[in-house]
Amino acid sequence: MSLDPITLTVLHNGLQQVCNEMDLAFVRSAFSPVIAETLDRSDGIYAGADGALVAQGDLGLPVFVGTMQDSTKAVIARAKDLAPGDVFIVNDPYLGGTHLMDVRFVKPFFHDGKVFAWLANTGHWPDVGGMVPGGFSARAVEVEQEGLRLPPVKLYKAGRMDPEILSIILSNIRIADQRIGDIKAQAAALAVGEKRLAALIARYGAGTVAEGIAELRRRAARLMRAKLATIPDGRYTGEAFVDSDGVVDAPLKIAMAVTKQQGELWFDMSGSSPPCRGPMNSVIATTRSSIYLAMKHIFPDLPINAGTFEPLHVIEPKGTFLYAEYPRPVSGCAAEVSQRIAEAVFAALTEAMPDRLFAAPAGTSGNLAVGGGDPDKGRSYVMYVISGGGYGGSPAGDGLSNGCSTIGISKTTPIEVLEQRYPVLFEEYALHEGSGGAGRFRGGFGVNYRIRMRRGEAVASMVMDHGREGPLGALGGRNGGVNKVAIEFADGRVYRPEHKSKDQDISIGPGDVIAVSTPGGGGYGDPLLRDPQAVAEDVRRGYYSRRQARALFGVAFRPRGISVDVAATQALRKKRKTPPKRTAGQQSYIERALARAEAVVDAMAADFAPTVAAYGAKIEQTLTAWRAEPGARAARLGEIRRYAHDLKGLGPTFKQPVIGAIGASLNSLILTSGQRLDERPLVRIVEAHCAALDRVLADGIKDLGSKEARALLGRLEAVIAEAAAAE
Amino acid sequence: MGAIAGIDVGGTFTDLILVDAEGQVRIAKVLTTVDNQAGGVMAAIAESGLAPAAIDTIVHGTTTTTNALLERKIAKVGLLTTKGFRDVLELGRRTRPTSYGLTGRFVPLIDRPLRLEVAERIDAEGRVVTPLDPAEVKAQLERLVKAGAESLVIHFLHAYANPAHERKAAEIADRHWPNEHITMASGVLSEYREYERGVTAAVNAAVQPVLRRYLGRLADELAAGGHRRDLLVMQGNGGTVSARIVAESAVNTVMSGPASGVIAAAATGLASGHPNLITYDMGGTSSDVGLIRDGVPAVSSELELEYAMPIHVPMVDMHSIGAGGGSIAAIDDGGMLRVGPQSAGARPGPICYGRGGERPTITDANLALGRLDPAGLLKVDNPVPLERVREIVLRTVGAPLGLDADGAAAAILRIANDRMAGAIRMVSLARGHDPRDFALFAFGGAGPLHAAALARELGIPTVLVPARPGLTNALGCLVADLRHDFVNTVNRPVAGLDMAEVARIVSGQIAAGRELIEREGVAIERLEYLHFADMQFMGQSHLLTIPISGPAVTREALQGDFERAYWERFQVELPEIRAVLVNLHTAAIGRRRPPDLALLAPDRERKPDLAQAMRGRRQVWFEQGGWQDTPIYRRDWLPRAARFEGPAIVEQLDSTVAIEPGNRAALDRLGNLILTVQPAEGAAP
Repeated sequence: MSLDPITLTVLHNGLQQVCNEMDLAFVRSAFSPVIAETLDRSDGIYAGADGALVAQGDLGLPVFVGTMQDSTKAVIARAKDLAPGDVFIVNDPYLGGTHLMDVRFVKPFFHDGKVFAWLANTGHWPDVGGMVPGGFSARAVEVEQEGLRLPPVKLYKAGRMDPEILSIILSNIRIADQRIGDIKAQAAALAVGEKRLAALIARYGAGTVAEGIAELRRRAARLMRAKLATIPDGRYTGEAFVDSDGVVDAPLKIAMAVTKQQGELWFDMSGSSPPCRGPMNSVIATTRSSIYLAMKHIFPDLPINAGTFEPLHVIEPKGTFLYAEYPRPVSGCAAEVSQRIAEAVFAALTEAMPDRLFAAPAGTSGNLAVGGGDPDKGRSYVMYVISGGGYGGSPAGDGLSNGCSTIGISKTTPIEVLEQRYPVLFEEYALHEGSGGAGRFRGGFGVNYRIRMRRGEAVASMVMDHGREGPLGALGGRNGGVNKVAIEFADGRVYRPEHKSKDQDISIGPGDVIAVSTPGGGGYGDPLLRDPQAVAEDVRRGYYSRRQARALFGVAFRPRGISVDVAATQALRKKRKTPPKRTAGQQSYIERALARAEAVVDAMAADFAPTVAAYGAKIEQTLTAWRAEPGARAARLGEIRRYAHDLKGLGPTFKQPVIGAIGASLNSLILTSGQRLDERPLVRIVEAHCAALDRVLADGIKDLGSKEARALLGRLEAVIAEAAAAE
Repeated sequence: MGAIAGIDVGGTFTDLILVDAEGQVRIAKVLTTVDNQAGGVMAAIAESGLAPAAIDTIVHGTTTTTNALLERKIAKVGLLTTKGFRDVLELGRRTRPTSYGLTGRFVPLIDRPLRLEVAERIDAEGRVVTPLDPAEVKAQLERLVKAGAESLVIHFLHAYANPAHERKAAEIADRHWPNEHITMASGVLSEYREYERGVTAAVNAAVQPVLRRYLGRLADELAAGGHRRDLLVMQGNGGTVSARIVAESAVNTVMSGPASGVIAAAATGLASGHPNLITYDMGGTSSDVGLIRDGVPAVSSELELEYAMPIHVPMVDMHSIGAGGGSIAAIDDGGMLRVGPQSAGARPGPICYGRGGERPTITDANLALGRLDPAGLLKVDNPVPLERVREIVLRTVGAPLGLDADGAAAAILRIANDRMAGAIRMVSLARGHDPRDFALFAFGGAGPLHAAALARELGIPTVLVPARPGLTNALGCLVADLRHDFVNTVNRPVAGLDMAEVARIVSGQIAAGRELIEREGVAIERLEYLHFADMQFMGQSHLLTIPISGPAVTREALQGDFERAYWERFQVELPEIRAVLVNLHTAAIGRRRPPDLALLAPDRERKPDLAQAMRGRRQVWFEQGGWQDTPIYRRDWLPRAARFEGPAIVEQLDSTVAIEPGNRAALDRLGNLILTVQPAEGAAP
């Protein structure tokens, strides 16, 4: 390498600085509160030849990691007659986009008469037309219903805005009058970047900068490989579910299989649900970006450029809802599906890196849009409310309450601002008690809010998620509380959306209340291992009731005040669990719980075999009962699934990941196709899983990456596939 | 004029600058007494040789409230708030500490069981929706007292628009709360945004008892020493306030330390013909940057002291950069050199401190390159040989990069300066300023060591190193004026403004300022007012602050000045969109008589010519030309008329100035060292 290491670092900082200054200019001058206040935007530099990511601003929204390189590539493929000062506008989801509201500006950067690089930014516009204000239609079945779709067109030609294209855009979107401010801010930010990049090149020379960009890309790939080296080779699986697509009321499954081999990761989602009718499809750019951002959450200190992603191979999940093609509706992909993809990555990798991972975060952007007219002010409005939820517990501690979405970094709009602008009155903005998933480290809490309409008629639409199943707990932790929505009409009727978390065009008027509870984060580790004093503190703060403390954490209190009844707690916890033999000599439960908990886990891991054997026996018994009583099959199947689910959590907790994987496989099979399967294949599958459990116990198979384990799990997959084929 | 003392308490040292009745300057530097800062303050006065009784005015900068917050050694606060909203202070605005990584920790200032609600509601227009029930207020106050709350916050939604309910509740609290620690949120901050206003009020309540106790102790000790006159306290807005009333707005004293440094810079800059400054204070773990235009420090109301702790009272706009002398240099997994943000702190500290540090820092690199005096190594408790420092630099940074020890140390400085220059740009020049209009005011122990290189990177033509770089904060106390800020939310389009209402608000702010300053009873020369408008275009979130003339400001002036300022900042014109006046802001300033800054650089020690001011020569490494035989000057020996070129090192008790080859150096009338720096090729703007 001819470039000296100091210049390389200086170039790295310099490129980053260009992006950061674009970020600053865009945020401070933008109009859309979604951009200025909730930071739903991003700025970056892309390679001149192929649009590969060179650098991205530190203030950029995480979900845009990597997506803008796809849209820049799409612009490059279509661009002709380029001149300095040209700025393309594009929001086509299928051309490297997210959803229609994310509008990108892409500008060629010229040096010596040639395109040296591209500068691009994305801003989330508050409206791009379509069937509902704000763009989040829960019931759209084709992209045309979601708004105006722009292929790459030059909005600025050689520095001058094209008034005709502008007029087309403004004629097709709501509250168009303020968009001119965002358009100018978005273009001005690129102008700032142009000036700063030109200064960098003037100082170091175009050749050196180009060489630096190439070398930085190699370094980033090297950094990512160094991180991946901490993951043992093997295949790891995780699942996540989207409540529904908004049109068909059935869950959508993301089946994530992550394979680590030769120092790199392969992400296979081919077992996921097929494309859906409603707007929960994800375009491939967003699917890919979701995986990138999940990895960046796991390794936050990685730099971001195209090299970072080189060791990550996303196998295109064609034929699933994670590879949407025209005209599938996609408005939910950036806000919801992306987060569920990230959760599937987290779930899969928990097994591989339990000390780095965390239980699932609330993971929904909680989009609520209310559009209507305010008779007092004589104007129409669209009010956006986004909400946070709890984060998952982790080895580092309990989860944060009311954290922002996994894919965002945005703040909520203050209640006082919303009430100034819109005819509403908030009645409550409070902690969603009890929503933090129980665990040795509990999840954070979601939010309860209530909005009362004051004047005028309006329609409410919402795209949220985790209404069916709360964010997943990890390693024995419980799931976080679910998302809830209710419309309480002034006449006393209460309406709950059929799809729980998604609906649109609900007519509301003065006196009606929109009540939302957002999810809590998943718990991490067995709740019975949580320090009883920490549980007492939770109860004192009203996070959980005494009853919940007892039921979830096995903690008993003295009758008065909130002080832990040590003996009763000990007894309660003992009763819940086979007592570990080797902890007999241990003293008070109050003593440093964490150190002791480790010992308990270790001791139980050693004695885990009888527990697993007991589970195996219970599953077989239940299967017999299932055959015997055709009338109670659903209930029995549910029992089997719960046993499998227990094993899924217990396995990793007690350092038996293979047991966990077998449990997970059975659990997910029953969850997705259990009710559909005929008797013969179902019995075969359940029995195969029991046999696999026996085999693991008999041969002492512990390493998930071992040949035996892979053979065993491979056989299970084969049995399942066979059953599916027979069906 | 009687004796005036400025006393600043820092993390390690308590500094004093005193101008006595004869116009003589006395200086003292003693160790800070952490638990009760009064000990260090009294020791500093003792060291000055003047009895407390002989000092007319003591102006005191204290970190008591800042430390209390950062270490969470705060009062037990109770909250009374609108029904349905007690969790606002815990939920925040749905954020996380860092963009990436889904873990983190947040502990609200007020514990949940101490947050109680009352049924009351006022809407955004200030109309009462649900009236306040005095009996319920009283009952909830009693519950808070019983639960052990020692300080009270009353925080109701939309109280900035109509404070009637908060006032009523405060009246009830005045009768029933067992002490004087009562904070009415809209009284501390009359701006919208319930989380920010609530946290600001909670901060006030949390530090109020702490500050009252501290100032009580200090006043007692001063009284015991015979001091009978004024005790003034520095605030984060860069002004001072009488100790008698400071605790009412205790939140205003947070971050007063860095603010006083900027105030000293502004005074020094104005007196020496450099009204536009970027201030640069480099310490051990971080560096503080501020911006001064036309002698007026930039003020902001958007400080966030730590994650999710916004303090929205006007404060001198300071930005902290995570790079200081103790920042650690390391090679990352990708083989790239990084400097910071990890810091060796005070313990173990840089390798050269001899406290067990094993990782190279910026300070170690300066030492390895001769920029710091290697003889200084001997002054620490367990001296580390210079060879050991160089060996570690070579092993940990040089070897992986293929550089020798010199090259590695130089690389550390280059990368550190590059990062710091970038950060300075983000908080100053990237906001629409031309670097050529500014001078870089360098202070703190390490600021002057890096200033010339930073100025070169940033394209700033002039560096100003004040006479006493290590005592700048104490000087800030000495020169600061009395200052009180008043902010009221208007939030109306300019076109629809009731200009009489604007005049009424500003006049009210003037009256409140005058009343407060009269109540303080401190001797001032004159009373002045600065007026500002926080504005935006309709629909925007961020604000741009512009100066306005006063109560008589016209609609046309508001519109025109805002459009001009917006163009200057963003190069965007928006005739299509209406401008909005969000806040009116008045600073009432009681000007105190300024001391003559030339007194700080007395001529006693000066030598007749430059050659005699030279203490010696040593080899020093510079980016321009590598190792060079370099003259080492003593600052207090430099003749007034000294003119010289770099390379040179100027040493003084509290700092070291590195003058690069090609820089020209001179002393000005006040004894400031002025460097003229050629910008790096291709550097900004």
